[in-house]
Amino acid sequence: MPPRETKLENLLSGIAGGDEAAFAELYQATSAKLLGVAFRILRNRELAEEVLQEAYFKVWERAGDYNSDIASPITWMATIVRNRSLDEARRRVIRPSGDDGELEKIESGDEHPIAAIERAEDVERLLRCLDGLEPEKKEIVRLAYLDGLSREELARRFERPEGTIKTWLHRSLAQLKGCLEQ
Amino acid sequence: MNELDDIEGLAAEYVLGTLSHAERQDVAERRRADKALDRAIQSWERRLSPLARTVSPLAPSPALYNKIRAEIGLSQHVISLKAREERLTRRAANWRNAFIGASALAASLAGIIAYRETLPPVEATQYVAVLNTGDDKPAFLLTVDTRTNMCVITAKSGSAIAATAAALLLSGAVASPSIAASDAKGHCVGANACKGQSACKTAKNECGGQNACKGQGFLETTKAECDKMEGAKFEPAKSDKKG
Repeated sequence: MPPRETKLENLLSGIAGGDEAAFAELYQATSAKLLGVAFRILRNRELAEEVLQEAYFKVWERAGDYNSDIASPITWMATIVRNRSLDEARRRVIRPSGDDGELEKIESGDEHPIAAIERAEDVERLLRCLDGLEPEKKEIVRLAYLDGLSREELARRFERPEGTIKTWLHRSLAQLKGCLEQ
Repeated sequence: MNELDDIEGLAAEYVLGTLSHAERQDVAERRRADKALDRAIQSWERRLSPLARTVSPLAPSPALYNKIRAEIGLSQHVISLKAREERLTRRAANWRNAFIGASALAASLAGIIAYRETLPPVEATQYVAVLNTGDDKPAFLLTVDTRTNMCVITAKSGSAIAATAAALLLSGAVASPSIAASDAKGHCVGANACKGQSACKTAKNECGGQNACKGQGFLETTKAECDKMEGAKFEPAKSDKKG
């Protein structure tokens, strides 16, 4: 496990014991990344910060439930943030249809950090497997996971029936799973 | 071509995020009892989560951390600041207040501080100040860390605070020129004779709106010094003056 993950695990066990300094350090280490995840889905800073607030509250409350056998700390926290963001996005239907300009802007802004970060091994592997998908299928998976587009929104964007999108998604995900298990 | 079975497909789409609101709620409910579904979801979270690490970070608003701590109900409030070091330095100076109870401690701190001031300017990363509640009893310890842009205010009992401040200063973790300048000074109201004694004459940046020479002057003194002056009332320095 990378040192950073071990560090985050230690912080989580500190938080489980009520260590406020550990909580402060965890927030410093992870909040910008997690807000990025929420904002990408919600595209509204205020909403994204509300989600982040709830997520850290949950982290404080449930740090004792964290299980390193199931997920790394950052996966655990990102999952909390993504689930809340997706629930919020679906509940509000916040995304105006045909807002492709903004989507493109966010998309293009994403390339630099991907290129710049020192990729962890699992990030490398997943991106390699994604590259194995047809370009359009890869785009759909990325838009769904990173930007939180629903099947319905993907159908509109790619001008295909929802059923077709579902089939594409299931095939792409099966292919990804196979690739990742190699 | 591989296909996912029902549970795998549902778990994968739940994690991918493509389900409708109603479907998401169904899955969230179902996974509580359905261990296979729950495990499948966790596996997909592991598979796809590296993608989340490719997202550009976005710095939260400075006030967010304080909101979170307030929601958690912690006694300690931490305010994340976006200020530059000069602003933090000024803020630490503004927050400063009459403190350092024991004279022996004061003397030793003054010694340390005088020593520090003879050194070339160091890259200060942390400031500490003691705040009181207005009745001259220390109540809070303020730490400003310019490296992490965080400002920590800790509630303290009177007896603990001098020891904490001393420990922080003596540990060398804190560079505290601002406190050095403050010593135990506050405003000695009513003692100003308006003959060039106003503290505003020498204070560099706190004259705005409070130049004392309008019938309510003050002198910057320690409480002890103020107490000696006839008709004067000691007030701790105010914390949040602007400009």
